[in-house]
Amino acid sequence: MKRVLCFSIALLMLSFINIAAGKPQIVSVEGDDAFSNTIEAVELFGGMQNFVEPGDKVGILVNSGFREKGAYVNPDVVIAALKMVFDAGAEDVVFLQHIKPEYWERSSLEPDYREYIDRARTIEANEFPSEYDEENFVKYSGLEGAVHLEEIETVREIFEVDVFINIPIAKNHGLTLLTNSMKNMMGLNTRATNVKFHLDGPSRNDPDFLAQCIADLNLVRKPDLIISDVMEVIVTNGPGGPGDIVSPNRVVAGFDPVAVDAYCADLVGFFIPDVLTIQKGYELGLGNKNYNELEILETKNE
Amino acid sequence: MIKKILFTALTLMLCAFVYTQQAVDILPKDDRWQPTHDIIAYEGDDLFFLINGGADLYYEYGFADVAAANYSINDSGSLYTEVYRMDSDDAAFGIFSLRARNVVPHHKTEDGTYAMGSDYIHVWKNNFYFYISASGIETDEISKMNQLAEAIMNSIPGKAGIPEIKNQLPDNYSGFAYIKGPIALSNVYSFGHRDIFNIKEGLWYEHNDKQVLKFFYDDNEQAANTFKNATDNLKSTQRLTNMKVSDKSFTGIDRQSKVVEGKVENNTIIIEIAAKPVMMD
Repeated sequence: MKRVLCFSIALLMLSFINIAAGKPQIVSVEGDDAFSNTIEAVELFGGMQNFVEPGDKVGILVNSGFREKGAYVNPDVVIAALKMVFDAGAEDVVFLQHIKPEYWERSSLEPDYREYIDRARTIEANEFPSEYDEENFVKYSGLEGAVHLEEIETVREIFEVDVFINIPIAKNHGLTLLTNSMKNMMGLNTRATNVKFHLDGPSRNDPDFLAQCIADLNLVRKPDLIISDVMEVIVTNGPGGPGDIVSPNRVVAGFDPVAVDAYCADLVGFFIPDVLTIQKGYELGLGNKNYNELEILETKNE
Repeated sequence: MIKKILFTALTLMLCAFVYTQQAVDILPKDDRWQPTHDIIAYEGDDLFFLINGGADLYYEYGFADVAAANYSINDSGSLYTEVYRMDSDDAAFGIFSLRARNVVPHHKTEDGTYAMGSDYIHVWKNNFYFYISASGIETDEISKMNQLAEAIMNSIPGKAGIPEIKNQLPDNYSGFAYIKGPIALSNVYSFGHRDIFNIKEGLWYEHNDKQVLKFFYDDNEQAANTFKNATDNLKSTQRLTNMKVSDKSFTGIDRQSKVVEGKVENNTIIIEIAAKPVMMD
């Protein structure tokens, strides 16, 4: 009871700080429990009802497709998001990239929240290495301002959902150094489209070309909410791992993909100028790479 | 004379056979090992359709083709394997060393070199690298994974070799990796997206509480010039703080507060990174 009271007082104080300092643009909650960190992060933005209205259709994109610890989003983060989305009154929730059933088994919370998991749909056709079909994908050429990308094959429902929530993990990638919010968007595309990012540049796997394609792709739709898993993440041998793990024990939420990526890059010890996607996204006007200019709320979840 | 010619011809034919045998030919397909689905095989650029992130690394080393299969062990358990045929023995060894760098010790046998965890095994033999992962298998059945590894190793022709580069390792090293380019380097330590060390061949290993990187060059002059350019880059980008530079060495502190020391010796650039961060005021 005492703990609940302390927690409520802490939240109240934080809300006060929030009001006093203006609306935060990034919140970063530290604590051992990924589930409560996620809940608190969204609460600090005023709760999921600020993003989801009753009857809404919500699309969620999760980086779930890896096996090694620190290479996939902690499923407790996703379960917390699902709970909040349904509790806010969402009518239809769809995982925009397929999540395999065994993913949920990695969470000890799975039995308690099975009902929420079962209520969400998943686009099975968008499972690596996804192939274009007219039912599930569209050929989209409306990326206004894109430098390289002219047409992409991307999942149809990204244009149909009322709310789009991006849930990446801030980890290492051999070619982009960091993969987080911006790069996670590649999970919306067919494999054929993503392969072009690697091969259609001036040379194979050109880091500059790849980073620009990722920035271009982010023009397709800006997430309404980003919830980034920065609990335990690999900082070498990415994206698949196994690699060296750092444990910032944080869940970071925001709306600005460039700022969230820059903030998370700092958290895991990457040098921001080394992460080309951040620079390209900034140049394209997708967000602010100088995250220190934003209102940031950092809290500890005891 | 005729005997000699015949012997040479036979040897050449055998070599050609060894290097043209594709990954799909290596996978066992007999009464004991029956794949549960069709074997998946890719070559060239199609590797991107097998690997979700990280295919670029295989191309950097030199990739030829790959085959993947699943073998059922009991009602719920299975073994999944991917066999990679690389362009050379060095390329396969490089991928093995990087994939298994956190899995020590590495065991050398006549059939190949392997490193294993509780439910996976990485193996290198000649120009092949493969790994097997087990799922849904009880501990007492995990020997099946080793038996499958043995079956695959036996299908790879030739006697397993040892790469020369291993002679560069000191005694009592822990993890190590053989590096063939900037993508491999960024898998162990990042100096940014530019290939400031112009890497062609190098080594990463852990020794005496330090990570050590060694980059090898054709001659002393090339090493010295590359070192100077890399040092200038590190200074101008401020990737390292508290940087002190002298003629053939530098020190600085990286973004994870670890001391980084660099020097050039003959045709080799040596970088040492402290394992633990320094205490900052």
